[in-house]
Amino acid sequence: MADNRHDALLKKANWDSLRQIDLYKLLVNKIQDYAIFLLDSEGYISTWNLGAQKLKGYKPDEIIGKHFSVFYTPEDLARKKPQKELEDCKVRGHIEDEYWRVKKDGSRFWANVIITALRDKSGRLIGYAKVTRDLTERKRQEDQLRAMNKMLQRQSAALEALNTSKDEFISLASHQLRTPATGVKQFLGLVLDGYAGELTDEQRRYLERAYVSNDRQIDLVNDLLRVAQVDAGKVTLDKKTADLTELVKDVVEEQRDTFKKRRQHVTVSLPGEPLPASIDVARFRMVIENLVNNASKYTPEDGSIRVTLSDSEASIAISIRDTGVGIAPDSVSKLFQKFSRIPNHLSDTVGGSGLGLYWAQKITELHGGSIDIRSVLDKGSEFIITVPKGKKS
Amino acid sequence: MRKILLVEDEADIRDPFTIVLRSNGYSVDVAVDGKDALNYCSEKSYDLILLDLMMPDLDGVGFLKEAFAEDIPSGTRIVLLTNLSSGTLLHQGLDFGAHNHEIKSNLTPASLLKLVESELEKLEVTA
Repeated sequence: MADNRHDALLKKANWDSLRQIDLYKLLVNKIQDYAIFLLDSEGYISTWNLGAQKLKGYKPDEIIGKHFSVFYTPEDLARKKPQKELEDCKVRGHIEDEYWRVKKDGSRFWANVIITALRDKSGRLIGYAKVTRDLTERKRQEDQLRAMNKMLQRQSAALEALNTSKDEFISLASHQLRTPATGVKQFLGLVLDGYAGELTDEQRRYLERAYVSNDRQIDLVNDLLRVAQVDAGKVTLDKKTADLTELVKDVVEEQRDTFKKRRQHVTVSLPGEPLPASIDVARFRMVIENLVNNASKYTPEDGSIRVTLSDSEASIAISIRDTGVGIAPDSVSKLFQKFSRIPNHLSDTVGGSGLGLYWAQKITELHGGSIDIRSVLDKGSEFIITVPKGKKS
Repeated sequence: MRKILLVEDEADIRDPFTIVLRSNGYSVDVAVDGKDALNYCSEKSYDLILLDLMMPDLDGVGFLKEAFAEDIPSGTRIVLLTNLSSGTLLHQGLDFGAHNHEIKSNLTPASLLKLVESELEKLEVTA
């Protein structure tokens, strides 16, 4: 009874093994996308599946018994790659690599190759199992991507160089344009300041007009340069925490002489404490100067200008309010456009490039703020600069 | 008397600056480019060097490198006077240790004097 059971078990075991081998053969032979074949311990091909035939082009009777080095390129053969791979596999048990392989017709394909050393129960090497996949398409796409990447890097470097040379050009152009005007300014300044003797009133009047006109040209070059820099995205703010109370006071004080000359009444309303904000002091100062100067330029004699600094929970507002010419509602939207100059009865005598407000708005926006305007034609305007509040030190 | 070296290739800027400075009691040597300035500096030292940047032969940065290869002497202030408001030369000049820079087109006779006085005051403080 026991023997019978044993025989039955043995029979079943053998039958299962045979069935496993058949299933394995069936599976391997039917696979078309992978070349799966066996090599003997010397590297001679001993089996060949449908995938191998499809991939490499050899029929089983053409390849079985041949050495697997036929799949290697002449370069790899010269480097003795087939022998080295088998040696390597013998030591490590398993290797995987990707490289060019050769088909029967001599064409090449990019192969992913896995070689596994096969050993019997005693550990003796009996051969190798080799699985090869054709990754030519993937390799082609990868190469294409790499080539595109390289091309983009080259283009990016070229654009960067172009941008740098544009910046240098703007800087040089500003230098060349400013230089002759600087000469005119210095000589006129010498004469007006009395270095060449006394002037008659008429001479002084004419020279002053020449001086102002020349200064307008310099201002225009400066404005153009500033706008070119901001438009090129080349303005990097040098932010520091600064007290806006002090800054606004300073700007107004600096323009006192101008207000006086124009007989304008100026009042400043400042909080009794510092109002810190994180700003690029030089640039933000120019924004305030620009708006205060505009208020003065477009306010007739005996008019008033009121500068008010106030704060809310998160922001600080600088209001510059004048009793000047004002702006018609349909012109307000044009104010912050480049080269925009709104005609009014003072615009003939007031110089300007039409770039100042555009630049001021851009700089304020870079500070995370805004410039708002309220205006009534012939009554006056109010410009409000708002910036985020800084931390108190 | 305070000694100033003015280095400027443009005669129309160099001449009025010289007139203003000499009329106000400064001893002014005038160099027309970086090489000329090197000759002056090899013979004497200055309290203040007003240095243009863009000049033929040897520009302002080249002059700074050759004249002060080691360090700018503590008794000398250097102000870059330029019409460049940005760009490599200006950055190089400031990186090299020039103490200040001023846009020439912004200067008037009065503001030039104010600039010079303020730089020389700094010299007195540091001296």
